[in-house]
Amino acid sequence: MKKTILPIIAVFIFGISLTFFITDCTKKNDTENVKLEIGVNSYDFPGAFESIAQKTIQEDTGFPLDELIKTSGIDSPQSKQYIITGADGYQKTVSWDDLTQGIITPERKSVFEHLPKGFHVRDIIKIEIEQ
Amino acid sequence: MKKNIRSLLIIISIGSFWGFLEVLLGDMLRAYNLPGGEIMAVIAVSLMVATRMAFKSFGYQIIMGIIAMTLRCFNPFGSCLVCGGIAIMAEAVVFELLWPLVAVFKLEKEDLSQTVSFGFIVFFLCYSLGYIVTQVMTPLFANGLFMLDDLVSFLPVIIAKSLIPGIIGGFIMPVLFYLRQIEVEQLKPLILYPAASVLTACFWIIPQLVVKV
Repeated sequence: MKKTILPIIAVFIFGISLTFFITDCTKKNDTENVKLEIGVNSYDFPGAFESIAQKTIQEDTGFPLDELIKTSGIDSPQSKQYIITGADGYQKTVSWDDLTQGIITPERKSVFEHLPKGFHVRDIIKIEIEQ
Repeated sequence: MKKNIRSLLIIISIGSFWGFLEVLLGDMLRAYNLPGGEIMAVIAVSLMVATRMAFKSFGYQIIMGIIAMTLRCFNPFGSCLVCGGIAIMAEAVVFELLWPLVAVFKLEKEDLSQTVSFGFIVFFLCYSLGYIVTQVMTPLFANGLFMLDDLVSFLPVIIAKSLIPGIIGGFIMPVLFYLRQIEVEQLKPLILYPAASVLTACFWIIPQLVVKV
């Protein structure tokens, strides 16, 4: 009996991870024609924000995230938190202070001056606003 | 006592080697958009399995993890230091917690289904739990905003990414079980002490030189 426990656990984990692996592989990651959602609004990206001056952080150049939020017309943005979500489901929550030090590149990647690379969300599809 | 010193010296060297690979190879792989995290996890767990089989002592892999993490944090070669350091430590701790299963299930090299399954489970869990711990700890260190939703929404991807290290682990573990006979006592101090010291120094100095170049 004891000899079968490890193989059973391994097969069980293998089955679950294979399911997620296949789901992940079949997911479409084409974000070229996907609109960028900010709050309840959708925008063409980067087209809708081309009037905003870009800035460079480390080696990346892009649109300041705080300017994007201001453009979307949200009330008192300083008091809110922001959930940045990528096409693969990866998401990170940041504060307004963080946003003021961050950019979104034309390739839809977030980069922050003061936060580690774990906060570089790729293929961003939406920025949700939390109270 | 002499055996302990020899073991510790080898562990420090291998821990430095692990950190050295994380700093140079890990970042190089990521720079070329290769699965650096998965490859480094496979190398790290393989080193831990090999050293655990050789020295048979609890805690040595944590020491290796601390050394590799320290080297990672003192060699800012481009990549996220906090995430890398946390992932290394988490893998070492998960490994130490899982290894007692060898005794519980009385694993032997002749029992292939057991060793393959154990390899899959250990490599899978070291990578996935290391990843999860990193996702929890990094926001706490960085901006204090860890949200459970951020983790839950990405869990399926973490589980999917852990499949490959798990499968590779299923192949590596039986091989390491066959190669487990490393006699530390046979290593001559006259060669071991200087060799380990020089190698350890190289593993710490070379990344610094690469950064300067």
